[in-house]
Parts: sequence; structure tokens; C-alpha cells
Amino acid sequence: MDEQEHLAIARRLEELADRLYQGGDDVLAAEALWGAVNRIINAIAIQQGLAGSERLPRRGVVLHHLTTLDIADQQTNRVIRIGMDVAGELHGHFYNSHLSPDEVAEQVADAWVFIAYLTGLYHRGGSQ
Amino acid sequence: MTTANAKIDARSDIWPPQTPEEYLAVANRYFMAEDYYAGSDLLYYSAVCALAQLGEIYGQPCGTRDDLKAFAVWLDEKHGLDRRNAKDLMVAFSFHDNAKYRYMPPDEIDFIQPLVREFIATLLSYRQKAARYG
Repeated sequence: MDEQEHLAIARRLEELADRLYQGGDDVLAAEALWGAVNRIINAIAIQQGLAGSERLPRRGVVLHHLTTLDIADQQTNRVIRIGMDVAGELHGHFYNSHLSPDEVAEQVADAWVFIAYLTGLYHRGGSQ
Repeated sequence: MTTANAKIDARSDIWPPQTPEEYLAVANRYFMAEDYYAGSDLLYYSAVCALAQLGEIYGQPCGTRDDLKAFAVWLDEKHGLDRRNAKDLMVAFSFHDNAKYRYMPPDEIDFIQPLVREFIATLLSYRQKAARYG
């Protein structure tokens, strides 16, 4: 699967997440957002030459790589770390439904910000 | 929280921890022993303990998760920050949640943990200033 295919699936997951969340299904929306984040990270991994011929690297490897790029500064690193934490928390919510409605709303809003950030990063080829 | 493992007995001389610094010290021992779930939970407790101490100084309630979130927002407003402490507190909460549910793997805990450590350091610096200047 190439990076464009990962991005296309990410886009579909984003649309699905939006529909689910607007329809009141925050649990499934949370997992769709988690999936979208992961697909964009996969695309970035391929773009950045981090993916091997058979398998993609772990998310942690890709994220750590992002903090070493030219754009990386304290604020960038903070955005990436918070974004990954938010996405992870939504993934956990899918399995455990442990977040309150207010917390889901906050994490979902931050996940959209992270998705926009990662998508922008991909389109800039990992540079400013 | 998982029990102390064979590599390092985190409970040897600081148990139960009672201050943010003691929670942090025990967290560090768990991280050194590669018990990322117990370590991250203790980071959460360090942050919450620091926040509760500050809450006592400022007369703000910190008894519930919602109280802590409201106090973090109060601190942001006091220091002219755009929800920085509020967001860092959410990361600390996620470390607590993850210690229980384990949806985030150790390498991602390791990647994200500087945020919680910086949050604890920020809270301790607030406490120092509050003690000095009120």
C-alpha cells in the first residue's frame, strides 16, 4: 500500500468520524479518529523513507523521527506529543468508554487539530 | 499499579510517597525498572499531588477530577496561558487511565512522558513562587 492509499483511507475515516460524532456515537467516532491519525502517520513514514519493504515502523519510531526534522522545535514537539496522547486516549475510549462527554468533546477537538497538523506536515514533505 | 518488580524495589525507602517529589522519585525507579505503566501512574500522582498542594495554597477545591480540571484552567488564567496547564493535566489523566487500561504501549509512554514531567516541574515552580510571594 502506498502513501496515497493510506491518505485516502485516512480521509474516509475522518468523514466517518465526523458523521459518527455528529450522530452522537462518540465511541466509534473516537476509534475512527485514531485510525485516521495512524493512516496519516503511515503515509508520513513512507514519505520519509522510514517504511521497510514489508512492514511499517511502529508509531513511536515515526513520531520520534518527526521531532528530529528541521521543523522540530519545542512547540512542534509539544504538538506531536499532545496529539499522540489525545489519539491514544480516544483509542482507549473505544475499548473502555472511560472518558466523560466533556472530555470526549475536548479530545475530539484536539484530535482534529492534530490530524490537520499531520496532514499539513505530509503535504509540506516534512518541511516548513 | 503493578507490584514492585525484581529489578528495583521501588518501595524500599519511599513508601507511601506523600509529596510530588516523592511520587516523582518512585516513578523514576519504576521507569528505570522498565515498568512503564506503574511509572506513568506515579507521574500522574505526582502531578495531582502538586496540583492539590497548590489548590490548598490558593483555596481552590481539588477533590475530584472536575475540580482539578477547573483549577488547571484557573491557573492558566492566572498566568495568562492558553489552556497549557489544562492540556497538560489531560495528558496526566491519560497516563492514569492508561495505567489501568493499557491502550498505549511503553514506547509511546516514553515518548509522551516529558510533557507530564514538564507539567510537574511547572506546578512545583508555581508552588515555590506562591510560598514566596503568595
